Amino acid sequence: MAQFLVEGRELVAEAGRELSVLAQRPEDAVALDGCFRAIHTLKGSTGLFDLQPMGLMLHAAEDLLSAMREGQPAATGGFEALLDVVDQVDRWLDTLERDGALPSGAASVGRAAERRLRDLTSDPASPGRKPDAPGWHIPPEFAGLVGTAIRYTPRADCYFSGDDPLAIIAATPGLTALRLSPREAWGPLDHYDPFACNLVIEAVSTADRATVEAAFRFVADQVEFVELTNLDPAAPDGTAARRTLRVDAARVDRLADLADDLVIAKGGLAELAAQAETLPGGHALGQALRGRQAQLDRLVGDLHATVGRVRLVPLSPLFARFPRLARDIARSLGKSVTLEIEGGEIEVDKTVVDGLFDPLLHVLRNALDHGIEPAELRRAAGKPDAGNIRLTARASAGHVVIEVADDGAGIDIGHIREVAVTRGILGREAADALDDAAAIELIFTPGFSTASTVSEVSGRGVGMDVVRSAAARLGGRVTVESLAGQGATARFVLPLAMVLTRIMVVACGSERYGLALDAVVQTTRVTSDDIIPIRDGRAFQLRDQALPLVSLGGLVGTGEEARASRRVIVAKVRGELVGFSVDAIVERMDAVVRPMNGLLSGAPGVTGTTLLSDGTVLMILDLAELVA
Amino acid sequence: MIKLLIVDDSALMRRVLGEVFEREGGFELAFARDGVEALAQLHAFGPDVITLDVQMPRMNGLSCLDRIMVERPCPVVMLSALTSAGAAAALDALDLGAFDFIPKPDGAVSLAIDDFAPILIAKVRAASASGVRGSHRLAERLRARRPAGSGPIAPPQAMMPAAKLHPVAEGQLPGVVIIGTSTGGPPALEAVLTALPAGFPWPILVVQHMPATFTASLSQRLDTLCALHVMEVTRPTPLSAGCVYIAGGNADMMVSLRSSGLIALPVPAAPEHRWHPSVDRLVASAMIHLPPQQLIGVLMTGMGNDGAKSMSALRAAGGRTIAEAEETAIVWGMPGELVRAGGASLVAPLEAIAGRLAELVAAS
Amino acid sequence: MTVVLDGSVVRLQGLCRVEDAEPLAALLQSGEAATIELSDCEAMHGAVAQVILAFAPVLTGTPAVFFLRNLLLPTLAAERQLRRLKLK
Repeated sequence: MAQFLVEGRELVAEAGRELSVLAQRPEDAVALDGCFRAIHTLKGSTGLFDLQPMGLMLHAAEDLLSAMREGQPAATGGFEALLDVVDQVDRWLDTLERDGALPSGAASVGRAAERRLRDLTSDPASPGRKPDAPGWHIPPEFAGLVGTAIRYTPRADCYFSGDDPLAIIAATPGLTALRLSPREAWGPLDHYDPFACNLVIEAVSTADRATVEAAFRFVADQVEFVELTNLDPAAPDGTAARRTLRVDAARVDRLADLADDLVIAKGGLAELAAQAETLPGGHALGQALRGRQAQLDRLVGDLHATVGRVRLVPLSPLFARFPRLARDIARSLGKSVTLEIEGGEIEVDKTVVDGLFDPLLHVLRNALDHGIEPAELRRAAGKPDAGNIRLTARASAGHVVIEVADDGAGIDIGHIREVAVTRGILGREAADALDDAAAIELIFTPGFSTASTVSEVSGRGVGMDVVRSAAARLGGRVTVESLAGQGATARFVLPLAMVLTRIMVVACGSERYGLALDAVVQTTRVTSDDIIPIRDGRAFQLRDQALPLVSLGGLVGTGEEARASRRVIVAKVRGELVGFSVDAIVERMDAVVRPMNGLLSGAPGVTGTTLLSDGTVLMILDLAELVA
Repeated sequence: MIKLLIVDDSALMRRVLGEVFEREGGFELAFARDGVEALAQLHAFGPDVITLDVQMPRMNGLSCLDRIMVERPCPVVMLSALTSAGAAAALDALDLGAFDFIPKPDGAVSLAIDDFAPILIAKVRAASASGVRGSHRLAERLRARRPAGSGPIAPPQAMMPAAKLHPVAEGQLPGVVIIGTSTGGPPALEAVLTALPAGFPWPILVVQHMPATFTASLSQRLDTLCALHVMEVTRPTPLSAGCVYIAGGNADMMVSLRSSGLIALPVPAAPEHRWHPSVDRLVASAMIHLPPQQLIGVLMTGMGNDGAKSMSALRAAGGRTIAEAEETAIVWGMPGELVRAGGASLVAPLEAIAGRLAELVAAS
Repeated sequence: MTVVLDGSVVRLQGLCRVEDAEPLAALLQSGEAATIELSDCEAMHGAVAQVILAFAPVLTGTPAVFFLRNLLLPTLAAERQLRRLKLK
């Protein structure tokens, strides 16, 4: 040991000398070699005694130097870390000389130094581990528990070094929960390796942090801790704590767009597979491509659905805007009102939330203006002076029902009949023949306005017809119920998640039509010179293929395109590419396509309709059916 | 008195090694700081045995070893670091005629001097007892052993005519060969395995007592030299003909059965066995899954007695075993124990083992 | 003997050590056993628990040891549900 102390001090001095040279000239290879040799020899000597902490630390130092010798650029802080190691060894040599053994905390000091050096060796850019950042998703089972959460990921070869991760966990004091799960998917079990550790062990202990850490001192590098407190407002009733992330809405929209584009891009793959199959010897390739395509289809479908879920947002931020607006409007009307809100936690598609503000505000104004009576009338009717409006949302079977209910006078149905007749919407007899529910429906007729005096609040020339079309654009509907003397309720029934279809809007003459974008393979421009007459039709050259060319205007009866240069949409029709010429491509948009009903439901070549923002109905064409 | 030359560049290591042998007694010691001093001492001191550090300034251990073998052949025990570079160097040293190697005490693994000393003394004693014969290069050793006029070694194909081979049924193995060896094992394995053809119909499981980094290097080296495909077993691996499976160091290897057939897999070292990988544990596991007639055990050079017990049991149950003969074994420990226990079906010198294996397999 | 095959039921008895993982895996992989009985299990090595996690056999019996009964068994059973869903 005496010899070791003497040689150790020499080596420490030598390593320190070389390190100070390296700090000035990091590229000095002679100094680097000298430092490496000193550390290497020092490490070798520690093995002769029971000095494992020192050995581990020096071993890591040697690896770092070795990496530097092999040309890895000196990591930031590398030399400082090495110098600290050398200083630590020097201090330990003092202790050894005095006590004949390392100080009691040597093991943890050595491991900490080792980890610092290993971090530098593995990735020079990696920042130090942040304390207490929950680097993992706390299992939902642990929600509501208090204490120290432990995540222990044993090394894959731990069984070979004699560790039993379960014994370590079992020996941890104060355990209240345990979860075992595989670190990686199991894979086929025919070649299951019983001795390659593939566990992630998560647990909660009520013991104090220091006690818990002590239980894991031999595997400190494989374990993470985080304090669990039950103060998470998202989980007041013990439901799963929710991890949230604020993401710019534009990015989510972009993600949704990309997912849509992916749907279109992968559409081309089927085409390629079909082409490959027709090539001599290409059958297998085609089959393989088809297999891949099916896989891709599934993944893209998943992605679509997942992005759809990303778009779900709670209603509460929208609802939160109304109390102040209600107070402002009520004040301007000289009324007083309380607004009760319920169901803000319900999540609906972001588009729905975004599209609901105007219609809800409109309905709220109507309720305040026409529904809630002046205070004296209310008093006479035995109601409190202040009106009450309830804004509520509830989820039901894939839909969200949002109601605005007031406790006012209700809708004056006789008055509605009068107005309808006065405005020439209905004849007197027809109006009288309507039952009450049908009469209320009249308020949704364009141009109908129920207020006998056009007030500042609601009389802006927009009526309930606008509210109805807004709801329709969101894929839902709106109805109004009324009980005379007790109040009126406007009820929106909207989809929780929007099934949006990506549409390409094209113009044929003065008409506009929509095409489902996933049927579109590509768009191109064709001049008259490119068009080849064939028998009873026409064709055009697209790269090395001659494709039939059909006029969409001709098909839908708006007349053929006359211009010399035409936009052509190449779409797949029953496995073959067909070009459809149009007058213009107007835009691409996302829309809720509603199936055809009523009169048009039998129309061939139309898959559905969607409402445009100007209230016009856009027909979505089925190209395959059109050319049948 | 055994004259021992200790070559090491660390003054501390020289001192520690010196103390180990002084305490043991019966050694006359000399020291050298590097290869140049070692060669000088080789002639001045005339050692019976040398311990040689692989990593040294001026002349590294391997060059020094090569010069020793040319200038004054003498048994050499190499001291090498427990790294893959150290493993490669150690195997090179065995090729150059070193008797054996020992992983050096290293701060990162707790191989303290108390564990290290008995192994060191045993290996140095075994080396000095082996005399110069173990220190010849392998090829010379084989030439020296062959009886005069027997001609060159027959090529593997002639040893085992293809017609004699039993056809291997799909998915079913006709049998398994288990070879166990320790000190002096790597060159002996090379001699046996390079003499077997690629079409050898029984998979061969090999246990060589070694640390993990060394078994990986050994497998790679043997794979490049042999017609058979040689691999280290690091995960459950299905057994198939034409392959040699080397047990990974610092662990044991076992034979087991899956629905797809026999596999070899690494298992954590069991404390009840002294040497790892354990020959006894491998043979015992194979006997659970295969009838003794479908097993052949081979025990070659090595200190200790690992494999003697299980292979004796194998022979008693009707299996066949081969022990390497005393005249070629660098240390006739393990095979000697097998012979003394009456567990050897036959005893063969190293150069004849491949041929005898082929005969046994062909006769099955 | 800590891994005992009884019909198609494996009984884990006493202290199940690391080496028990291999015979247990072999029995479950070959389909010889599909149920594990834990009443007499006193301690279980991580490697053995991992085999149960991977092969998701039926678990029966209630071990007397607190850690096994109240912490390990519930998570093994929960993971088994998950795994069964995935195996289908």
